[in-house]
Amino acid sequence: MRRRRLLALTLAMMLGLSGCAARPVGEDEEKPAPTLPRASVEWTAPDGDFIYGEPGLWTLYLPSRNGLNLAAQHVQSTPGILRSEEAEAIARELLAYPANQQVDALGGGVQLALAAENPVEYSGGVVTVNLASSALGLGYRGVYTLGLALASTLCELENVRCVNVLVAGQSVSLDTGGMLPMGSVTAHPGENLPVLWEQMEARKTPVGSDAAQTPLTSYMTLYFPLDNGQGIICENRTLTFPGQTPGLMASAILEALSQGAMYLTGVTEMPDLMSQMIYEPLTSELADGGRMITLSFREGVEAEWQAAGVDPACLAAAICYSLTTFIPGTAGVAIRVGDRPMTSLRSEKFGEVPVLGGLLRRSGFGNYLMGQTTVYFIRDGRLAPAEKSVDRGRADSLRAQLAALTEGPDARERAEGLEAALPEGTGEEDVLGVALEGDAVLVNLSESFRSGIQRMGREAETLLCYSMVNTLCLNSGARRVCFFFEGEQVEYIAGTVYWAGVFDYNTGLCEESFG
Amino acid sequence: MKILLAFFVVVGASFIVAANNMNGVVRNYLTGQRTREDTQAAENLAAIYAPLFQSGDVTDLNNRLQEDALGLDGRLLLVDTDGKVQYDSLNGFCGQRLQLSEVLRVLSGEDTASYGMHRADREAVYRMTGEAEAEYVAYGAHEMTGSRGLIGALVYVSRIQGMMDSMNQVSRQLNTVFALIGVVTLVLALFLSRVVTSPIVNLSRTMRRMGEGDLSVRVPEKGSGELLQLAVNYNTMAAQLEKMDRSRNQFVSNASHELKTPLTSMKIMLETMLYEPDMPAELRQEFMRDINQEIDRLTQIITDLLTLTRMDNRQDAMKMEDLDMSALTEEIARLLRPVAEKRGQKLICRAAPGLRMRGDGGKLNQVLYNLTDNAMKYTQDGGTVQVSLEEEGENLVWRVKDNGVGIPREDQEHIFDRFYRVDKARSRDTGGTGLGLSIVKQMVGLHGGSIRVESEPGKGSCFIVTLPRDREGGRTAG
Repeated sequence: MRRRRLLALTLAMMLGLSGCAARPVGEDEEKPAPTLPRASVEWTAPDGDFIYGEPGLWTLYLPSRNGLNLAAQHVQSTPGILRSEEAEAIARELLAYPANQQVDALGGGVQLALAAENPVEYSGGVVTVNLASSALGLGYRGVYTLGLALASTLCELENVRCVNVLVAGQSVSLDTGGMLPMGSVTAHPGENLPVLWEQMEARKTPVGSDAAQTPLTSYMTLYFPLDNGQGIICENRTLTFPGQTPGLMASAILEALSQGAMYLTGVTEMPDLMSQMIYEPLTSELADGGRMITLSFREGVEAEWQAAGVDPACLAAAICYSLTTFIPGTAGVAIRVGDRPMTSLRSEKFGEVPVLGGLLRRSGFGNYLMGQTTVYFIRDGRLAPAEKSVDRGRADSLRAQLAALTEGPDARERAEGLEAALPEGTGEEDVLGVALEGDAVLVNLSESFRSGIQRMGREAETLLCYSMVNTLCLNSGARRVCFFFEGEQVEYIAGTVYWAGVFDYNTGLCEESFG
Repeated sequence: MKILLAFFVVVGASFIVAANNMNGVVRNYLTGQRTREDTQAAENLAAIYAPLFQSGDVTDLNNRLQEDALGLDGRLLLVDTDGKVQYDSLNGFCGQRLQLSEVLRVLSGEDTASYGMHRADREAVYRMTGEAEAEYVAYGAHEMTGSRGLIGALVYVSRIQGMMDSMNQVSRQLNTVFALIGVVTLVLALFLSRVVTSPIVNLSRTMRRMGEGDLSVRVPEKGSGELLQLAVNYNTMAAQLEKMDRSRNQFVSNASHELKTPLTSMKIMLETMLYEPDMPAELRQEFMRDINQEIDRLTQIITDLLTLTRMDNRQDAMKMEDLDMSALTEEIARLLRPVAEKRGQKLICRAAPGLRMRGDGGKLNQVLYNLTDNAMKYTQDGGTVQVSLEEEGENLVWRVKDNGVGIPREDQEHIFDRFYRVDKARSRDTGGTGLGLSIVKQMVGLHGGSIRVESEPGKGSCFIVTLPRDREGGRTAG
């Protein structure tokens, strides 16, 4: 009996030990899941719109003392301002920068200043600097150098690719004939200024030659009307002109406009303007100085434009801006329909367009120029970018970006498969505060917004969140976003996304990451 | 059968243990290797992604994450110090909190790296790995550090279903192989056990038949070693038993005959006397004397039988004492000398003086008396009987020699058998029961001694009894 017990015990031990040879995978599944502590952030919820930035440095480019190139100078930046405001501030700093051992002042003995009206326009990567008429005292080369300095300086800003220089609202010529336009200037820091000037001079009509026979290739800014009469927006292009006369330039510009925008979205499909014109563009001098370009369209063209979905006011603004920004000395544009001048023009959004003496001036369309901001809607389960037009003064406004998101995609965008990311019924009023602090955007949303998220459910929550994150980060340069709801951080709303803590900018959810 | 069953149990348990251990070794090796590989991969990737994570170079980070995850055939996630997924190669968990023990260990600072293999429901594993029908997944977390210290963790979701399937397949194959080997082993064991136990079974069967009374059965003496020895020993024992049974039967037969013979004789004489009332008185007297003689004879036979029975059953206890054998020998000779002289026989006694030994005096007296009495009975008148006692080594040796009729060679080995008579008629005439030498032999055996005879017909016999001097009792001679 004892032997049997011993044998049974030995067998049981053997079998038991054999079971311990390897621990089955997943044996620890019975242990309770660990939990992480609640996320905490170093910020408090903004109750308004702020930009907190650390003071930094702006780089100004001025002609070196020896006149050979542009030298960099650094000044303390003004933190917490929008980019559009920043461009103006930098321009003012540049114009006022005094000479020193390294650089000359831009104006030399001329007191440079910005024009009072629309001194700096920032839209779509293009900065248009409108100088006061005192800049004319610089001379052609001086103006060109000024343009290079402005371009080199302002192109230091993110997303600025070129600069247009106007004086008193008109493009300046770089030759005595008044025909050589500066065009849109890109940055040339470090390049040899005399060489650049020579290259520019080489383009002008030689003495004794016919300007109409002197071709010109130039980088310039074209303006296009936005859909639904929302304004105009610009695009840069290199055009070749058959001659250096205003009429020829105007024709070439109109022809380029008729081809439509190459890169922009949300712009109206352009009519064939040249075919609608009954005469070639005419140039005439104005009594108070400056040039007027007259465009004569056939009768009924306005109806054609409207039938084609082109807002006549926005089209006029686009034509006016395109011609006046490039063709030197052009004060404005006169549009004739049939045999009568267009004396009134009205925009549903912008109201009556001032037409004085039949002249459409650039300044009359100052508020037509829109900015664009990229927002992320949803398409096929991914984030898809869309360009939304916003007032150019708010183009880099965080609130404007969120407002554009709440508006959702327009008809054209919906036709392209885009869907709204944010809860239905939410609007700009649900953004209680938004601030840029360092590299983080702080967003304070309302309880109504939170309820809207909850209604949308788990499936939509991730894309809803990252549509805001990516939109805000892309346009502001921030790299993370922190959300508050009624001033507090919330952990979960619909159950999927952990809303507390921060969200990093993530292009992985964007459709361009796939395929 | 019990042994076989025990063998089966032991072998079966051994194979189970071996199979389990082998499976365990293989499993531990594979999982250990995979753990090392995945942990190293996570460490390497964490070093690469930490600066990208800190700098926020989003496009490059996302592209690399997807490429690296594809290369590893797994999933990579970057989580911040709050455990929130900021980047995911499959983009399914962005913005979500990863409640994994491995992540917690790393983010809490408990360890710089953590790895674990898990079993979960298929839906959960599919959500993590994108593998359909998978039940296993492994997570490797490694800290990412930057200029400010811990900035997050890299999580490597490793697809281990393939490895688990391989392990299970290996395990199944091992189990199958072990089971097959086990079955073959058991079959061989069964065969071998039958080979081994067959002789034992035969022996057992034979023993049972013997137990049922058939003493003639024998087991085949086949094989070698212990089993052959067992068969030989058994057959020897069976032969002995058969011989003893025959002897017993013979004894019973002889005893019956010996007992019946005087009774028959008595009955005849009594019936004659009963049915012949006119029998002459002298004849009647003679018959009465004969009847009396037969009764004496019967009594002696019964007495002798009882003596033998007691000795057989060891009921007759040995009264061991220090004996003067020389004096005992002289005494027996003295007692029987008058009988010898009556027959004209010479009884010579030569006992070496001072020979002593431990023994039962009564029994030794009877031994020497019987032998000397027999010698005188089977020696003609005028013959000589010599009785001697000598010391030979550690033994004392009696010799009782006569020059009588002698014993034929064929009878010499049987004269110590019970009721055996060389010449039945003669021994009856001399009053013998046929048990005297049996009793002598038994008594000598009780002292550990031996007895033999040297005889030649017509020339006489010599009975030689060898007795150890210090033995405490002895075996009963068989």
